Amino acid sequence: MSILACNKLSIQIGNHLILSDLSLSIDEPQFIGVFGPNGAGKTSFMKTLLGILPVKSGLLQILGKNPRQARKKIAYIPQQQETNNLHLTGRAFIASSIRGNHLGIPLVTSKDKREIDHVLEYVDAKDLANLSLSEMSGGQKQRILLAQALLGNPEFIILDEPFNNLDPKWVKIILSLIKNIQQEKQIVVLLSAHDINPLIPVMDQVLCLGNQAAVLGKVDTIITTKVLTELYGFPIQVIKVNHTCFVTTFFN
Amino acid sequence: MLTLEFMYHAFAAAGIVAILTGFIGYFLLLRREAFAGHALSHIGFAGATGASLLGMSPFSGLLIFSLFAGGLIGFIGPRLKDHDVAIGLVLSASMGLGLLFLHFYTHYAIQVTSLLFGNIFSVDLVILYDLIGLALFCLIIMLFFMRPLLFASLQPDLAETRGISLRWVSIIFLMLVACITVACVQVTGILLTFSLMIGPAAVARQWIKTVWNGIFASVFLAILEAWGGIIASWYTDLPVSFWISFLSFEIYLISLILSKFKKKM
Repeated sequence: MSILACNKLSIQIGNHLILSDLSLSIDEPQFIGVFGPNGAGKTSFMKTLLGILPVKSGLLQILGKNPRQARKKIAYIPQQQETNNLHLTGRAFIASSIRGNHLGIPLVTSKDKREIDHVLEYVDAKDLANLSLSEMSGGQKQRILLAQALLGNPEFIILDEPFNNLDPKWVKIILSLIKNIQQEKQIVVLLSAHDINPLIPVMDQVLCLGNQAAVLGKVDTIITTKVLTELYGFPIQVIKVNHTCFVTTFFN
Repeated sequence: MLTLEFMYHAFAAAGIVAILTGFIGYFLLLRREAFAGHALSHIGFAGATGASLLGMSPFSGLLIFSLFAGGLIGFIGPRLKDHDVAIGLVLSASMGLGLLFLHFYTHYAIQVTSLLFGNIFSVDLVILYDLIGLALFCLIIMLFFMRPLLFASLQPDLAETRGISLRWVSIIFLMLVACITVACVQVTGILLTFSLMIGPAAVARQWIKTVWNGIFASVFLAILEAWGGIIASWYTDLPVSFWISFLSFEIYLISLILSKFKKKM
């Protein structure tokens, strides 16, 4: 059974065709980086996997089910969450998502508390539990969001540009945390970003979106000067130094 | 003061209204929809004066108009921060319409003044029972609806992936706000509902870091301000709604100064 299977998948928002006839398959747990120019449809593709946006045509199966049936087992960290004015603690923030889709009073049981403690400990964020979100740095907030994503033992994690506004140190810390989670829990991680370089050492495969199409492949075959220049419609150079790739742009 | 029956009614009505406003105000701020809450009460004004013109009870006009407006604002956009201009224009147009209705039917000028600024000392047992009924209805819906409301307010994108309709959450929530605004009219009046809905919640949110404690603090402050307003009005012979809005502003100001002071330390 494929973890993710797309067959001639097309996604359309209003009159705007985002993806056309996309076919790809992900068969084993891995870390996949998602890239593409602005407006290429990275977020739309992710929202379709989550069942928020409809499939226009074609087949889409995730964890062997359609997206709406599978979403219980998919964790999602959306792009740019507005948490700057939130005075709630990390723990209270995480607790708000527990059974959030059920009616009733949001009481936290002792079982819920244990589960929150467990995920906080897993991402090494126990010390953030009682700190308010407005007092946290961008990297600390990402840790809290990661902890929340791990509630309910997801089999698939989707992260939409989690490194926006993070400095390189925090990008490295959060990235290695995500990689550890992916390997220990043997799940699929789909992570979109603008800066390819920090992800090159951790990615198993790369998914590039552009011009309503997508290509999925190993880092060596996709992260090349030719593919990236075509995809972005802009001269991009991939330089290899001591078996390490660097993606850069030309300046005249 | 407490030997008079109308004072008991006033304290009871103010207490009930404060519980409702403290509760809903916390969520209004969490959802950053304070302006929508403010607009709803003003939009209701046109309904109340329009109903008077048609010979109906102004409260029924207020309730129907506010509920309709709440549902409509909720339907237009779950993320209301993008609709400030539209809400502001609807708000001022409604006030203008209310004034026009008033122009045609000046008979009800006194009743309209109490709609605008409240008249808590005129609360009798019938009004009190109506208020209790409305409060119970709002609280039951609120508690029943609280879990998805909290989730959708804090993390709308994630809530959507779990099958929650942000639009329906927004519609139900703003209709609840409309109901509570109507309940508030007798105490603070349409123009000053903001003081009991937003003031206490803003202070609670500033200092309290968990949801339930924040709600309790917001309700506690709302009761303090509402009852404090009645007591101050008794001793000074100035309007209750003035005192409530004044206390709300003062407490918010003190909280703001203290929080700036705390940050510097």
